[in-house]
Amino acid sequence: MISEDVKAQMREICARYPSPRSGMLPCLHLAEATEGYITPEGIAAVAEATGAKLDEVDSVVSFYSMYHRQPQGKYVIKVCTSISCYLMGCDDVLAHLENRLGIRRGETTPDGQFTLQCVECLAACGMAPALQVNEDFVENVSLQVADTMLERLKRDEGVAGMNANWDVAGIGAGDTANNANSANTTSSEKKAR
Amino acid sequence: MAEQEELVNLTIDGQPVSVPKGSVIWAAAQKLGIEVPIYCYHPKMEPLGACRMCFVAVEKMPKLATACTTVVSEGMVVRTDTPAVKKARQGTLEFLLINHPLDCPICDKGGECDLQDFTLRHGPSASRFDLSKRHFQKPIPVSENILLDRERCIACQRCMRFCQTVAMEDGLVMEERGFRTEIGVNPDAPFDSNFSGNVVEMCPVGALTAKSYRFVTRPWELQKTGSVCGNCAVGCNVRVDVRVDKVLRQYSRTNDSIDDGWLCDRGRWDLDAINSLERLRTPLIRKGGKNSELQPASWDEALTLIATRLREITERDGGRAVGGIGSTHTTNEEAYLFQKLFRAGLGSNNVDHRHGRFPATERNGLPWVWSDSIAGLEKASHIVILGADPYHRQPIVDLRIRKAIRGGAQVYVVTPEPNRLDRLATGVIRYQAGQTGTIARALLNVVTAENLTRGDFAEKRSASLDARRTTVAQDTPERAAEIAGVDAAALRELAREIAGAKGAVILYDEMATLEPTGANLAADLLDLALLTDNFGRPGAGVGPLLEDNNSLGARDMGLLPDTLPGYRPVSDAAARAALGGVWNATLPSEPGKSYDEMLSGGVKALYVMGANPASDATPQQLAALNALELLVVQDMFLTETAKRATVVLPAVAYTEKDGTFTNTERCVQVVRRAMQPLPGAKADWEILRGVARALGLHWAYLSPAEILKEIGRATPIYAGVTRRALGDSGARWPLVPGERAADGRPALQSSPYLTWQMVEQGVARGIAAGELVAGRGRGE
Ligand code: SF4
Ligand code: SF4
Ligand code: FES
Ligand code: FES
Repeated sequence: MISEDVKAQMREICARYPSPRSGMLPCLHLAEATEGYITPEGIAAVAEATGAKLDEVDSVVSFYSMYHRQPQGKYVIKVCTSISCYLMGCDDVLAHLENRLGIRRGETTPDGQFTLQCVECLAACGMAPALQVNEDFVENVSLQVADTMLERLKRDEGVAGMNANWDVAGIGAGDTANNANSANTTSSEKKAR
Repeated sequence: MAEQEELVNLTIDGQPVSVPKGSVIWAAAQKLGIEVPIYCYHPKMEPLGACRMCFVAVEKMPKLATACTTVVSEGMVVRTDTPAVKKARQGTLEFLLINHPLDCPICDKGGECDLQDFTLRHGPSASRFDLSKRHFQKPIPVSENILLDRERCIACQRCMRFCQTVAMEDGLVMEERGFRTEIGVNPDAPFDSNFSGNVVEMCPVGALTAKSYRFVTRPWELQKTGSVCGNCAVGCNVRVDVRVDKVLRQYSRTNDSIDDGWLCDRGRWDLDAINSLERLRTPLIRKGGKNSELQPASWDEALTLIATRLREITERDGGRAVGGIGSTHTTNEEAYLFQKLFRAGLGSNNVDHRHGRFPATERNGLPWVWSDSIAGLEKASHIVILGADPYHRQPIVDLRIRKAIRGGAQVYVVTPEPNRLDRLATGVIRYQAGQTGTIARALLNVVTAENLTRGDFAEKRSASLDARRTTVAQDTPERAAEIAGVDAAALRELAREIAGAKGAVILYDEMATLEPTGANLAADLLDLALLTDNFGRPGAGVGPLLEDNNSLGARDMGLLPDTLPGYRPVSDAAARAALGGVWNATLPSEPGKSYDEMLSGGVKALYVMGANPASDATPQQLAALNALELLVVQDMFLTETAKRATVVLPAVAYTEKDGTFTNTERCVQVVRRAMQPLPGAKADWEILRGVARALGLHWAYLSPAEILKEIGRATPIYAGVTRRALGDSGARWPLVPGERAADGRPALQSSPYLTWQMVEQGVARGIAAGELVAGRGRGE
């Protein structure tokens, strides 16, 4: 349900821009936050607030992987599968997460805790392979990092600090070294299997 | 009008070319006849630069440039033939072909497909991709008439951009992104646009196909003829595509001043009548008198019967006893011959057709013509749609209004019913059906009462202004609110907007004039435009949106009981004499009977050409039709009227004959025969010639072009109108002298708009018709 109050907020968002259509993305975020995912009602409300047509809003929703058409798990894990991450071993990360969670990409665990998704480039190519948990990035993801991440999420500790740790470890060594490390990790694991 | 355009000079592959400033490289290459392959670009839409097919090399640019987005500059040196360009084209095509199904043998687009053609000319000859291609369920319907094959789609986005930026309606959108991108439709916003067929025509591949055209032909089997759509009063330019004896589709022939390159779905696909198996193929007569059955007869029998009976009746009761109802569908030549048959052949002014109410006024009888043009809409600051529904009735006018909206025009939709333009309008005003006249008077009231009149006309014709002020003194918006349930404040505001507009165009539907309140609608709105100085320049004007493909031509040609061709009153002795001179006949001076009068027992013999009055007749009118001594019906079908006829004559469709139509904005255009006439049936002009000859008249016309030449002499507003003067894209009457041609003769050019002086002088007199006719020399 999109309440009158939320609709008013949407109108307020749109009023901030010279053209109300510019408010489409924040309004969609609001719709998703309100209902948990994007419903036809959410699309209609956003169309109304932005003055765009239903089919245009629909198209935008389909373009961005951060909007969802189905109810999502509490933690949505989006693994980048574009070229840099692919070269740095995202397939292994993805397979590992599928195994650990017992679901396939695109699915949600029965307890509603986790959704696993593949997305196009997250613009974190320098720290590939990269993934996103809800709003937060996890970069240079090795299988161990993935495990750590899952443990923290199960304890509801979030992943906000994880990259900071990496950054600390990376200081001095620089990004390149860092990347090389993680690449080594994944490829050696690959050999081990 | 040759506005001096600033030109930019550049060379492409060593050849110099000059194009208007702001052109893209693609257009310059096009001008030289150099092909730069494109997919996403479409000359009628904003460039996108998405498909990367159009790469060219530009000197001093580090990388290849897209010809569809790169604007030309002075001295630019472009090459389309370097190894780098060739490699880029090959690369793009190789990628596009990776997943393309290459089912060309059964693809409707095969033979006119840009992917086939560009691969042949610019592509790699082999693919390095040896994995399996992706597959989708196919085809899937995206609308009632169109199917999508996602495997064939190359994601150029033309179709989506047409829906979203040209039609500005719900329709096709891009879903997902990256390699998953596909064309889709939101189920809550279905693609039910009247303009949907354009996406099929513009899709560079066979991804979007028309249900009516699937698997019925190969394009090279089609015979293609440039003509004009006959489905409504807009007169879009089409290419009629015929296979053997069936019209399979109409494609756009792009006339920027009328259709801007688009067609509506009605024009594109609504061709059932032409292809129908129900069409009449032989004359029918009642051999055993009134109550016998209609039976097949020869043309000779039928024509002799008509002539004998018409002669009998006119000799007994005079020309006033016979009458004719003409057509808004037949060509000008045919409408002209029809009234000539009655006026010159039978001595009767009883000719009329079904039309709106446009009474003669002090403004010399021309309140009904659209004074401006379709293209002029783009220059308007305000467009007022009053009691009209262009989306359904004159679709391509609606599309031009949308273009005007994109250019900043403010549109006011003032209609009883919801309108497709409401969503895009600046103002929407509703009123009770039947009250269009009340609304017009209220607008005139505000303008005169609040002293908002302005401009040349208001100054020079202040007497007329005072008169109007008095006639509408009581008709305030507040009063309109009571009678018509309209929002008075909004109406008042609209009148002020019109009065203050840089240029307002006011359009109403022809049929709104038939409402009880509509008797003076045309004249009132003409005055509204004149008094607020919204007249006599592009982007300012007033006029009716007419119904049928030749509604205006029928009037122009004198299918009216009280006026001769060119709107000269039958009571005008000089006009009668002039026309009688051309026709070598004496013409009746008494005005004839109107459509309604003829249908309510006013005549004993009635000749109906291309009309079906019985379909919406009252019981009294039906009784009168049944009581006629002679009813001749000339039509493609056995209509309700034809079923009551004494003689039925089979006519052909507009795709089977030559001639001219005049569209709702005065543009006279050439219609060409695109297929063999249906065996047994004849063109209306041939039939009329046959009837005239059977009556003993010497009608020797060999072709419609010859009739048109006579129209030029008989109809002052058509002076100078010949097939040659009309060319491929037509001309708006009256033709006016342009610059002198090289041989010293005055060249003629069309009038894009009428001025109030032209209207007051009856248009024709303002153009010195005599000089044109004399100076025209050899004519056609
Ligand atoms: S359907 Fe045709 S026009 Fe539309 S994006 Fe695909 S190829 Fe282009
Ligand atoms: S707008 Fe009228 S003339 Fe143009 S294509 Fe449609 S029906 Fe034909
Ligand atoms: S390729 Fe994965 S973040 Fe860019
Ligand atoms: S035609 Fe130029 S990029 Fe598509």
